[in-house]
Amino acid sequence: MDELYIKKVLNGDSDAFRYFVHNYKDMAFNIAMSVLKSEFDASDVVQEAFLIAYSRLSTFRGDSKFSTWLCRIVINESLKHRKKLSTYDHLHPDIDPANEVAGDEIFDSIEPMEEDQRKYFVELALDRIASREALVLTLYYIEGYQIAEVSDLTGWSLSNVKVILSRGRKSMYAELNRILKSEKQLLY
Amino acid sequence: MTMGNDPDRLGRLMSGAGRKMPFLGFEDEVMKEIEARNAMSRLMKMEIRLSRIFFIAGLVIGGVVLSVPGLSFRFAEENGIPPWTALIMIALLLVLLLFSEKLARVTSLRNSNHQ
Repeated sequence: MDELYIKKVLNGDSDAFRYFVHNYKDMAFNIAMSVLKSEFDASDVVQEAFLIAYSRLSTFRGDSKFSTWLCRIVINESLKHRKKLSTYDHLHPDIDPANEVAGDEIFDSIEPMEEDQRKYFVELALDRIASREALVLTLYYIEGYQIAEVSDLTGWSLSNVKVILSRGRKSMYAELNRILKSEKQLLY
Repeated sequence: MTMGNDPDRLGRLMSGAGRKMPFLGFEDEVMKEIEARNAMSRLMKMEIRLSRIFFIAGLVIGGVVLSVPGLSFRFAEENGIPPWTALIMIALLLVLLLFSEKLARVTSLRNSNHQ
């Protein structure tokens, strides 16, 4: 279906590009959010990414899926925007092995929750971990890319992606644990 | 990693997550921006085309303007007209041309304002 709309756009039907915006805006927003942690910045970057994709559509060779190509543009633009803002991750201190938490306890607490609440906790935890970790976790777990694809999309080496993924998991456990604890404190 | 940190469970938990674009008018905004950029690029292309045409026209007219006085003087000489009369005639012709160009521009501006 993507190919059909690409042809339409390249033949001058610019309105056909709405198909791509409609279908991929959430994916693009999700990826940009993992890096930028701000809805407004992410929205701006996604808009810019779509405009770049539109203007460079003739260079799309079709070696990969359109979504992968767009994903690469979004990642590049997000990282560029983050660099421009010169923001640093406002993170909780590095995970100390002594403070590592058992994932099972977290999952046992979160899994029985309502879907919306589970989603809220995951998104909150993603917002609090480092951008690189959040990006890799988002690409791997939410968007369903393989490690090799994540490496290709980000331009980071395979081993680097594996390390970031592993650190990201630990950060997620730590953040989810922190969020759950503060929720419990609020309740009792 | 502590025992029990199960990547599969994290994967299952995360696969259900994923944000949606919260700004409702996003699609329209992108399409509007694309349309605006298209219009701008069309305008730019037209401007470039026009500037090429005017450049060539300028070269031709410049050549003509440069050669007209010489030809006119020769014509005046052959027909016994004093050179200064020919000069005044050429100057009047140029003024008339410039004036008509300004008049044409004002008229087209007024017409476009009426529309």
